[in-house]
Parts: sequence; structure tokens; C-alpha cells
Amino acid sequence: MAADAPPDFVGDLHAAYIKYVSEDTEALEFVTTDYMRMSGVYWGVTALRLLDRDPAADLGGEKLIEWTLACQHASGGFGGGEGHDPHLLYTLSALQILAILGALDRCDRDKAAAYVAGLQQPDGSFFGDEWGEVDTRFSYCALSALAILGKLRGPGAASIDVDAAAAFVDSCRNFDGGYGSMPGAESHAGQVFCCVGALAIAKRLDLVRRPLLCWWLAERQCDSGGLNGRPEKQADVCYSWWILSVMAMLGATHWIDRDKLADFILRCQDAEDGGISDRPGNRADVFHTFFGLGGLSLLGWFDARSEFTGRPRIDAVYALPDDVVRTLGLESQTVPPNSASLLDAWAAEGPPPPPPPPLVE
Amino acid sequence: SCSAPPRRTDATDPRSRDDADDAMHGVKKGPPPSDAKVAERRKKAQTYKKLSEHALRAKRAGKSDDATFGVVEKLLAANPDVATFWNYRREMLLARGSVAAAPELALTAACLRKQPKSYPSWHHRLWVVRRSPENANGELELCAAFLKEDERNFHCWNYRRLVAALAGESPAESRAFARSRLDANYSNYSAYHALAAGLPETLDATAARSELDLARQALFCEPDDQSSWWYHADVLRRAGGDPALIDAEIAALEELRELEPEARWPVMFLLRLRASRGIDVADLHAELRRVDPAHAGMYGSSIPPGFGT
Repeated sequence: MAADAPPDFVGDLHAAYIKYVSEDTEALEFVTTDYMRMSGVYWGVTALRLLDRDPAADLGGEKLIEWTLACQHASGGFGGGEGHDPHLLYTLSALQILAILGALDRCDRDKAAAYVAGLQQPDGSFFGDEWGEVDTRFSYCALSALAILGKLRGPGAASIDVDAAAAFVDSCRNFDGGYGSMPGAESHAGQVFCCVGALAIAKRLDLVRRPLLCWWLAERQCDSGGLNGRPEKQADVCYSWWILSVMAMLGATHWIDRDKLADFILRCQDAEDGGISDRPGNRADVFHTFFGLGGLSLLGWFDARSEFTGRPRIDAVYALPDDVVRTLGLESQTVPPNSASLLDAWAAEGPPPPPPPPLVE
Repeated sequence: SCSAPPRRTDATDPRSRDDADDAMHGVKKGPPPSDAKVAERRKKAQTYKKLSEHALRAKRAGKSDDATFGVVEKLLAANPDVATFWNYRREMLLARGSVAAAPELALTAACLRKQPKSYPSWHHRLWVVRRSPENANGELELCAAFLKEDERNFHCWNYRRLVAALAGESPAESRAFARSRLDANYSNYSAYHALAAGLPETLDATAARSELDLARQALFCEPDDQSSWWYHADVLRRAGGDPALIDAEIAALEELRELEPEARWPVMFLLRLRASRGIDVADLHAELRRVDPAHAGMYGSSIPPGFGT
């Protein structure tokens, strides 16, 4: 455990880092991750918004929009990069990028919605693509994508069965209150985010075993202050997002030590070259930079400091800047902040109290 | 006996493996690479990019000749996470007629040895075995080998569950496998999960006692390791409010507390069980807040009215 105070927040370096990575197009890591570039761009664009910057100005908005649109296939789905096959994962990332850049209307929205809806299975699950992989990550991608397209509910809604989608997610709930990728799969923080996020979008948080899950999530906090993804694993900055966002959706962020988590995230910064890494001393990447910033945003760390007030906050359900969520009118169900404890939940589970004595007339 | 080393959920504990173990995780920053190293990597990048763009063009053109098949196989071996190349391989295999399992099993095994958490590699293997389920039994052996390497690889546990269904493994056999993983390491949360997933919704006292005995070995040897505590909590839940069972657990936990006064988990569980029996928990609550201030919000500043009275 570090005895020194955490380093300062070096937001300008993080912005420069993101720009640098996006321009280092001949790097081995850049080239070999072309198949998932769409997600990388989403992480970079959203991170820049959380840094209160304009991604269109930093990265070239028109060029980015055109590239994103070029990845939309005839089926309506988006690939992760030029020439790559369509997939739900990258369809969501593409729509998120277009939403932030204000260019949703420039893609074929109806086709995109039809692509997503066409992947739902009779049991409510979603294939990732035509090849049939099932994973609750895809449930989240589908519901979020349709919500962003404005086709989850109401007139013009795509033909998916939201109740069945929620039921499938519920079938992936485990003994610890957490969720796995499919029925019977072990709980993992990333899947928990996808499942609770999907239920929040479907407005079915009633299906969540809240006290049990929030307890399990609270126990992800390690001695270092960081969060791990499941028991007996190492803390990692990305879980500051996957775990914290769920606790925010369920009104339980007070169940962890938020200051200690903020310190951990700050110590994961690369104070020399910018960017944030999975844990202190490791190499930074855009993925962890985005999730570290998302974690600080959710913790209210920026709100508490006058030099950072006024910047967009991350939305816990949609992982988009809150101004975008408002503009698009994206709905979700969440539990407001409160001060309920685990003991309150245990007390509520107990046998009902004896009836009060009859009133004496 | 407590032969396995204790585990700690600590950011610096090198013994616990990372969930991703890929280019983005667990990579020390280190000094900047030498010019020679940078040049070498750029060259590698150019080679990969050329080959990849060639393959993507060929896919668009619908090519499925042997040379193209070979290029795609090379790319997959180098970068098994590229789903598009697995898609392309499947398209070419299907265009040729039947799909021979052996080459696919060999390729995915090589890819998974290099990258045991590659989603598209596991999925391709599943696609193949679903088409030739006579291979399912052999897959159980593969899973056993992979789980020996990394007992927490959830890709492998998930894959095992799916091929076990194809192989017709009975619930008892599945349970025995999970038990065998616990015998190797009583702190294997993935194994506890597998066991819990197979438990009936309610447990009678005898069955509950048997499950609690299983967890107790770990709880007593390493009370700070949370894996077995979650299983313990779930077993108690399935056992319902059996007062005799709860009283026996209270006694066991009080004994554990005497042996391990610094451990937090026994205090939490004792608090909950005592409260359910109407026993005062103020002292335990105060102790939790004292030893674990990070979770002060979770414990609450006061005891709910009627709780533990």
C-alpha cells in the first residue's frame, strides 16, 4: 500500500495521451486491435467529454463520423473496424459515438434497430451476431442500442420482447446475487454491469437481489482501495466502473470507501506520459483511462473540486455523458442515493414484528 | 488441515491472476523501448496489417481457396481475438461441405494455450463440438487441463458446462468435478459457484450440515478468504430458519472468533445469525465498525430498530 499521498490529477496529460494513441496508427498495438477500434474510439471520445473537452475538435469529428458510418453493413449492424463483420458489441459502440458527436441521424437507424432486434432468441437472450454466441453482454448492448435509437418503446419501437430479455438476464443470476454471461456462469463484475444495466433500461430492477448483490459488490474493495472483479482477484481500475456504476444504479455507493477508491484511481495515473492503467505502475491504455475517469466522475470527485465543476458527468446506466442522455431522453430505472445499510436489509428480511397491542378505548 | 497458502484480496498480491491477462492488463510500464525494439515492432505491425487487409479484401470478394485459408489461419494463430477471421474460416469450411473437427480442435487449442481467455476461440471450438458432439467427452479432459493451469478461468468453466451437457454428464458427476477442484484448493470461488448452482432451492438440516462442513474447512483455515463465506451464506439461506442449525452455527462461529479474534467475516456472520435469534448485536456491530471502517456505510451508524432484540 502506498504511504505517499496520491498524485495530482493530470487531466491535460490524459487528453494528450488519448490524442497521441489515436494518431499512432502504425503502432503494433493499434494495428492488431483494428477489429475492436469502434470500442476504442467510444472510450476515447467519452473520456475526452469527461475531461470537458470537445472530441470532434481533438480527434477530427467529421472524419470520425464518416469512419463510423463506413462500418455500418447492409444488415444495419456495425463492425469493429473497416472491413470487419458486424457485431452487437460494435453496433452499440458506434451508436454511442454517433450520439456523442450528434450524428445519429446520419446512420440508417431503422436498419440498425432491425439488426439488433433480429438477434433476439426465443429465450430472451441475444446472439452477438449471426454465429450464435450468447452472452448477457449482448443483452445490455441490445437494450442500450435500441434505447439510443429511440426504438426501445413506444411507436416505432423495434420488435423485441423486453420482458423476455429481462427474464433471460434474471436466469443468469447466481447464488451471490451477481450475474454471469449465461445461465450457470460465475458472477463477474463486467457481467454484473451488463445485467443490472440491462434491467435498469428495461425498468426491471425489481428482479435484482439488491442487498445481497450490493454486499457482494462492496466486498470487491481491496486493501489498496481498488476494486476487484470477483473474489480473490486483483484490484483493477476498470472495476471502478463496472462495480461502481452498478452500486450507483442501486443506490449503494456509500457501502464502499469512496475516498480510498478515488485515491487508488489517481495512483493508477501515468503522471509522466498521461493515461490511466489497470493498477499503479503499469502501462496505460485508453480502456483504463476511460474507466478510471468514469469512476472519478461517478464518485463525484470532479464535482467536489471547483476547478472541475460544470463538466459533464458519466451516466451510470448508459455510460454516456449525462448531457447526451438528457438530449436523447434516455430513460432508466435507478435507486436514488440513500443511507440504508446492510443491517437494514437483514432486519427487513427477518420475521415480521409482532402485531402492536390493541388500542385501549 | 490448512495446507494451502492464505489468499488476500490485495492489489499487489501477485498470486491472484488477472481476469483479462491480455495486452491491456498486468503490463508493467517499464523504460521506453529502444529504437531497435521500436523498429522491430513497426515491422511486425506492417506485416500484420498487410496480411489482415489482404484477408479482409478476400473475404469481401468471397474467396475460399487454399492460399486464403492458410493466410486466415496464420492471422488467427497470431491474433486469436479477431472474430471476423473465425467467421471467415467458418464460411470457408461450410463452403467446402463438411467440417472436420480435428483441425479445428487443434487450431483452437493452440490459440487458447496462447490466449486462454479468447472469446471467439472458445466460441469457435463450441461451434465445432456442437456439430460433432462425439468429441464432447474429450473436451471434458481439455477443460480439466485448462482449469489446472488457471482454476478461475470462467471461459473454461462456462465451456465445460456446455460440453458436459453434450457429453451427458450427470449432475452428480458435475458436482464431483467441482468438489475435486475444491480438494485441490479450498479457496476456489469458481468451484463454490459451480456447487451452489447445483444445489436444490431448499436444503434439509442433514444436507445443510454436510454443505456447511464443506465450507467450514476453509472458513477455519483461512477466515479472511471470502470464497467459502459466500457459499456458507447461501447454504444457510437454502436451509431456511432452522433454529437448531442456526444455534449450531452460532456456536461454531463463536469458537472461530476465539481462535481468530482479528477476523472480520465471522463477526459479520455471527451478527446476522444472532440477530435472527433475537440476541443483542450491539457489541458485534461496534466491532465491525472499528475493524473495518472502509465499510462503515454498509454497516450503518446504528442498529435498525427491532434487529437483535
